[in-house]
Amino acid sequence: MKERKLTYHDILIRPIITEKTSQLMAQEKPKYTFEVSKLATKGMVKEAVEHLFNVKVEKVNIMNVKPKPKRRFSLQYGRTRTWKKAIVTLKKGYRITELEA
Amino acid sequence: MEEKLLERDRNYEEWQVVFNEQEVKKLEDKVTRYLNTRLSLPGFRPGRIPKSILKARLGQKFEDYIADFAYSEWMEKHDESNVLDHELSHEFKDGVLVLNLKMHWIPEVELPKPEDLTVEIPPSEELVEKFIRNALENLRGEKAILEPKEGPAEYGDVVEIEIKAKVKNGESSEAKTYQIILREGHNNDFAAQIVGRKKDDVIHMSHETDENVTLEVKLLQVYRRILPELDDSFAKMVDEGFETLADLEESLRKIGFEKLEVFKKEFIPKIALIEFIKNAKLDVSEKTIDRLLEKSLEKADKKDPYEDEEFLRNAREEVVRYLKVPLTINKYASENDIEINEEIFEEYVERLAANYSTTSERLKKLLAKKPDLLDDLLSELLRELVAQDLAGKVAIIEKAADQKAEDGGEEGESNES
Repeated sequence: MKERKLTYHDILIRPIITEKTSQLMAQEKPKYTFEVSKLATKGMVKEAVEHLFNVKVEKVNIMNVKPKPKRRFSLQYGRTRTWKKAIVTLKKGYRITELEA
Repeated sequence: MEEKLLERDRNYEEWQVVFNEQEVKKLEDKVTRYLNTRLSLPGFRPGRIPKSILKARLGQKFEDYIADFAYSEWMEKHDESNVLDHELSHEFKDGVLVLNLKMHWIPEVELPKPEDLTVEIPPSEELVEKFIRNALENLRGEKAILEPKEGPAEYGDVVEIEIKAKVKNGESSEAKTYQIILREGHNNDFAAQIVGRKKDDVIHMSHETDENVTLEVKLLQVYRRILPELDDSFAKMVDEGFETLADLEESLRKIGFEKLEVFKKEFIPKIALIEFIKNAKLDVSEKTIDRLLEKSLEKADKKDPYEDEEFLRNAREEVVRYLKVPLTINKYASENDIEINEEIFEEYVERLAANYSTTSERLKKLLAKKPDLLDDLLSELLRELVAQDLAGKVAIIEKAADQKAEDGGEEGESNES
């Protein structure tokens, strides 16, 4: 089977906007958090962010978020899905205004 | 905040209010705090959504909130209870907020002196004499002798008719018999179709409201009404207690005066209030009338209302009346210390309950559930109290109808000269 190449939009699944990430965004060197494809690497994320948002990336941290146990209706037990998180630090002077909103 | 009055026309004012950058920031913080108490966003603890996120998520709405808060801030310096309506527009220029306000304040009403007003009513004697004449005619009609007649029916005759309703699909109702007096009147088509017909004639009439139904009216008998002469024997016929016609007339006169007193008690306050409102002067801007008219036309289910001149003129008059009536009543009530206290309200509720065949407790429970209805009743009660107060102050003049016409004629002549 032919392996499909990931596009930039396949790599960056969604930005994570929470209380904590919005604090990270407000720093001098802003950090933006994304859910990324499980196949994505630091390099791929850097390339995708630079291309899509026209910014310069200083570094990328990637981590796999482990599934957490979840209980439904007191008797059913399960787990939340596992996903990959990337925290992208931009070079000084760059911002992604679309995500600060 | 810098405010500038751009235009003033009676109760209408146009303001431009400018908020500088710092003031806008303060307003933004206020809006953020306000929205944080009402919104929740996943990923944020309650009340912790940052301003930037709210701004971006709400966009234009966030700006509208700022404008509303700015308006409230400006209104702190003015009397909010005096606002009839307002139009608000805003724009942001380099972080500065410019508010354009069109304020329609509650217009002033100049009240006339009730003592200077006169209420004209028809003379009591004339009204009572008219009542006696009508009562005697009714009694004559009641005591009329019906004599079968062969010729065609005329106005004033009594006819016995049989009516059958027929539907287009062939169904028909049971025949019913009625006895009616053929009275002449501009709106009495039914009688007009029977006049000129003879006994056993059948008339087909269309139904007034239902096109599918036709009425089959058969003339069973025509009677001539022989009305008794108005003399002493007629008086005895009405009641054995009356010896002469004069006795009967005297008794009717007494009833007439009693009814007249009741009528005056209800009529004079109403007419006094109408006269008072007519003479009150409303100091209102045309722009306010236009604004209210525009709002009421939005609700009215009419196509192209601005093309119908008569409709528009009537609507304008209605808008002025809508403003003038409550303002006049409220101002008079406050100037004359007319208030609705518990005792008056209790009495009013009891009166209403009796009219609607219910108990005052049930009516009170209903009013507690429907504040709009309660407001309507309170304003109606205040109107009643004001009308009664005015009735005791205005001059009441008894004037015959022909005297009024003469006065009118003289005025007309003097105007011409």
